Amino acid sequence: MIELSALRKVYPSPDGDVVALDGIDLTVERGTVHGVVGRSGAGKSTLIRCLTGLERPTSGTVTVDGVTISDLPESRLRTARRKTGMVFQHVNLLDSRTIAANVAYPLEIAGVKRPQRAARVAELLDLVGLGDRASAYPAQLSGGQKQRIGIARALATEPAVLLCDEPTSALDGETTRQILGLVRGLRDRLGITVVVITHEPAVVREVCDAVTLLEHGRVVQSGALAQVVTEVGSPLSRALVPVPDVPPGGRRRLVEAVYATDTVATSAAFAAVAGLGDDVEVVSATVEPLAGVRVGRLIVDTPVERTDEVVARLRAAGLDPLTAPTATDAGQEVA
Amino acid sequence: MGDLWTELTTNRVITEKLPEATLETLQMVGLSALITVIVGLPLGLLLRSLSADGLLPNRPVAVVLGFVVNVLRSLPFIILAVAVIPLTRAIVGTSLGWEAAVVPLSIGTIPFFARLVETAVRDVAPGKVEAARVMGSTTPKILRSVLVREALPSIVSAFTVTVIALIGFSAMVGAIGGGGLGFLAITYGFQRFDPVVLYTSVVVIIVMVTVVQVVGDAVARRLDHR
Repeated sequence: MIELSALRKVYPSPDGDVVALDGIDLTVERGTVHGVVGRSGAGKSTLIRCLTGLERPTSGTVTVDGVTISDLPESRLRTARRKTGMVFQHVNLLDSRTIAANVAYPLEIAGVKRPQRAARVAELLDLVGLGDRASAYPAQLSGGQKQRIGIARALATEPAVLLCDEPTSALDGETTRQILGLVRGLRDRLGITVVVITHEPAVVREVCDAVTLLEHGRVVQSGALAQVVTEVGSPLSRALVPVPDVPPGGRRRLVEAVYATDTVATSAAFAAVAGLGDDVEVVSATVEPLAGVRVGRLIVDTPVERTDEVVARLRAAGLDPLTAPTATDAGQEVA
Repeated sequence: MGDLWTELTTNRVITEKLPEATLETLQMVGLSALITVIVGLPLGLLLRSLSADGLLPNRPVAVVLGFVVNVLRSLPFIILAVAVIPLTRAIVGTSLGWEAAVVPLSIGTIPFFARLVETAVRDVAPGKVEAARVMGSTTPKILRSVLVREALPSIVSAFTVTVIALIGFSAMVGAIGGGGLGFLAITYGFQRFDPVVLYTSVVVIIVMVTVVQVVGDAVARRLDHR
């Protein structure tokens, strides 16, 4: 549905060029929710702006639903933009318009006639569960309600793609869950393709089917959620299935393993390291429901000389453990 | 009190000239205000749009236009009013009377109002413009439905301030033959030393200013849904 190929975006500046995107190749499958994560400055916002055509790539191509956005002249781009809906962190509703008029706005732009407009607006407000607030003004709504209206507006012209730029970053936990539930429902009911930009791991866990990690304008890791989280030691795996930190100490070593519970049962993972004596123990562990399965992570603390034994036991149980360097040999040896 | 009333009802300047002068002031302020909106609103939008983060960024044009506006704004109004007399003659045919006063009044307040509009429009969150662009809106539609509409309460307040400034300026052009309440106050009240005429004219001006302020505030409040 979305294809980015060798996408580069460079901003010229007096102190040298700033490379915001440095050769991005990315495919977003139709009907999936794709998360794009990374620190601020990693290029997430530039990426989404390239997807809307607000920003022209320096080189490379952006194709959305078979249309190569990056080649279109401005006039055709305006029409093409109606096939993508966008949801903003700060919603950006027009304060001078009622809720209904805000949702109607993209339809006015698209030249939809008044009676059809009214019918479509009513339908959209029902879809986001705010059918009774049509004549209210944005200032009268809560943050979560405003974002629902933002989503309704983004869906007005029946776009094939919904782009969400930090849609829940200004919302509290419970409201975030409601909004994400709404997004998931839209994907299921409308089959819409969603790209979510976020810095919150919780958003990825709750709603994404696939995820891409950006760093310094490059793709560091990308793939289906279940696949990237079980790549032991990967940054996305750490971010999405966090365990409490264990301080390294003395002549001891930490062995870490990640598994999806559809291949390895948590009890089996624990059993693998049980009974090795008092000096081998699980010091940190978690199980997170994620991408339709549960993903577990555990960290085993072992004396250095028993590391191989522990690793062998975990392997035998179907796990793929990673040995962290000890405090004493840090920097010299990485398994 | 009875003396004052007798004076007010028998002073021929007040009974005959004052209503006429009030009407003239209303006409010159009204027409100037209209011209100020017609020219100043687009000019204010243009000033905003030409800046680096505007819809039509163009630095050279922005600098030139900004300079012209600043020059017109730095001139004391009374000097501007005298300086444009040749232009007034060319447009109206005379430099006397309320119709002639409209020329310096408009030239004096257009840059003032334009700057106020520019500031009002600058306060519209950039995200709203971006949202409209993502939805495929054209630039004229963004100017109308986002920038002007969202800033309308502030623009109405700016217009209120502008009309009040116009009322003050209109008294000044009276001094150079523009007619209206300013002319009345200066010729009959000041030069012929008739304090009743002087203060009555002032009271009428105060009433006008108050009415404009109250109405302007009410309209701005009606439009504001923030």
